[in-house]
Amino acid sequence: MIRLILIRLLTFVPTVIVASMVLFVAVNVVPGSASKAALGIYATPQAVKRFEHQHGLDRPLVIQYVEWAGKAVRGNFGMSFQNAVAVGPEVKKRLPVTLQLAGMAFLVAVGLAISLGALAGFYHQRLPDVCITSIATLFGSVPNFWLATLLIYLFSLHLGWLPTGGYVPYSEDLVANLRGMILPSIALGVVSSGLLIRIMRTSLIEVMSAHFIETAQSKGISNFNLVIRHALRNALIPFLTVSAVEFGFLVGGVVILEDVFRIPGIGSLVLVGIINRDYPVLLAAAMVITMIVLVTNLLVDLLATMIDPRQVRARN
Amino acid sequence: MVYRIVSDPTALSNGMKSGEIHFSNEVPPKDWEAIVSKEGMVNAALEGSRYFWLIPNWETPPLDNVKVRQAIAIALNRAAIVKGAFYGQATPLLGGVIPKWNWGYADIEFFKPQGDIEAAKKLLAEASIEPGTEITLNMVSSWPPMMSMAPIIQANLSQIGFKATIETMEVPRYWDEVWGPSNFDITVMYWLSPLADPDDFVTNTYFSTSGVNVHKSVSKEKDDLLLAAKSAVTIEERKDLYRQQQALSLETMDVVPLVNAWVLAAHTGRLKNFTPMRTGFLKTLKDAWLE
Repeated sequence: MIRLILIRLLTFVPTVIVASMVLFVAVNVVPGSASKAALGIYATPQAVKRFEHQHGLDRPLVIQYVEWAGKAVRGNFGMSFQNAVAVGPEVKKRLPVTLQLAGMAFLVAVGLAISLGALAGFYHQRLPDVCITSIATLFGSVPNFWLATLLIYLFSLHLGWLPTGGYVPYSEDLVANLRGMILPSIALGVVSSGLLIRIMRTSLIEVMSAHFIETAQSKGISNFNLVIRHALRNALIPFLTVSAVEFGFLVGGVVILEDVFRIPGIGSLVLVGIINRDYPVLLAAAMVITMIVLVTNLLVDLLATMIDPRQVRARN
Repeated sequence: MVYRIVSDPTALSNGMKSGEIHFSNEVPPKDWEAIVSKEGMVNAALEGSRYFWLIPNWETPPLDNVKVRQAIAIALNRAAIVKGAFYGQATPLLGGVIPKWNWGYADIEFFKPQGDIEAAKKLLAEASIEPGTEITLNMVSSWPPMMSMAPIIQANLSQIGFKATIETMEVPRYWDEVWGPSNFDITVMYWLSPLADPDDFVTNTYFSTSGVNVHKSVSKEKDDLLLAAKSAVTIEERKDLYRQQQALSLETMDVVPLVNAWVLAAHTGRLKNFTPMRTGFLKTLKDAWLE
């Protein structure tokens, strides 16, 4: 087990380095230069040259990367091209907001997936299964920003129950904070639940055909206890791995939704970074999202190994 | 007071409709009616200093021909642009680009609000332009009014015989690939005058060596008028010089004036004594208070 953890941790470092390289190159080769985006209508050739020299953009990409990576590991992500604000503190300030949104959306997605997926799996090829599978397909195919717009229209503008957006820190007012996060969490979580419901269903169907389930049934256990105490626990192992990957998608998926709901998180920072070709902002925000995804995957991999020791034996 | 930048226009409108946002001086035109009709909302709309102009590339045939540029300019239905792209919240520019509220206004009626298709066709015939001549209209996808006016301009161009194609792209790519290298047939841009002096409306757009002169027009006569207007002593003298410059620019049709957008400010009744500025700036907030 310890050996496995060490191997995982050792592969984590090169993964982060490769991811940072890919990100850096991708941001720099995307069409539309940072200098012209910042200077806009005033982007004369002289002004562009001056801007690029001032921000070191006229140097070879390798040198730019090495310098950026060297500073980034010490938490210095540079200054924004657009407003000369230090990017690191800005990302740090916004990170908890995004994590809260992604976390709440994850709870919505997992809650829906476990309840509906288990129900569909238990009633395999019967009416509830057909209905839930159709609902899962619908959830998975709806764009989250479209669902967000519908939710805002219904619950905010029409019924007036919840705010259309904005963010109140939980340290200031917990109730207002949660009220503001309900609609974005639902919009994000419902769409993610589409895949998770299907994974849960398939996993439970597989478990339900196992011998130990037959044994439990022959003992006269109730259906509720059978699913909760025996089937669901086993079905959760593959579900856990996929849901962790989905959490990564949720963190990345906040980009548009934070803009729609006026939430000052990492996602809206990414969007501004893309629109303005603000490389330091874009790189820092994207790198933080990448790190969250990688760390989550690492943790879940280790957790799954702990829950199911057969994985360790299989690897050995 | 909490001041936030809301980049999504619909999110801003939703916040104002639901009463979560109390003030904005950039209300999206599409939602203006819905927002100001809300009970307790005070509207403060006025013609601003943000004008839009169409830019024909002087180095790209057939736009190097003044008759073609004039034909396009007079064919445009500015009233339709005001209605379709600004939901009525703009003023058509029928002559020069200096707006009516400014002391440098030239009072020249060069265009008809609905356009003049027949006159435009006549000019194109004089320029020997064949019907079906292809032309490309480059627009910025992330600026809603420009995207809305693109099909109107395309339809007007089609009415006078051009086969116009709309090409869109996001802002950074536009600066890089279209604006910077002057790589376009026709494009559209806007200028927000921060000073509201007549010079600020015209020099950037019309002066030959200006960085904004991506259409590549050169005129010593016009440059001299602009320089003279800068240093003239009396308002009357300056006004006359700007009038001459604008009249000359309409003859050569360097760029095509389109519309002047309004500053759409709205706020709840709690904000007192706020007077919007034509530039859209928020300096006057210092004189306002919340009740």
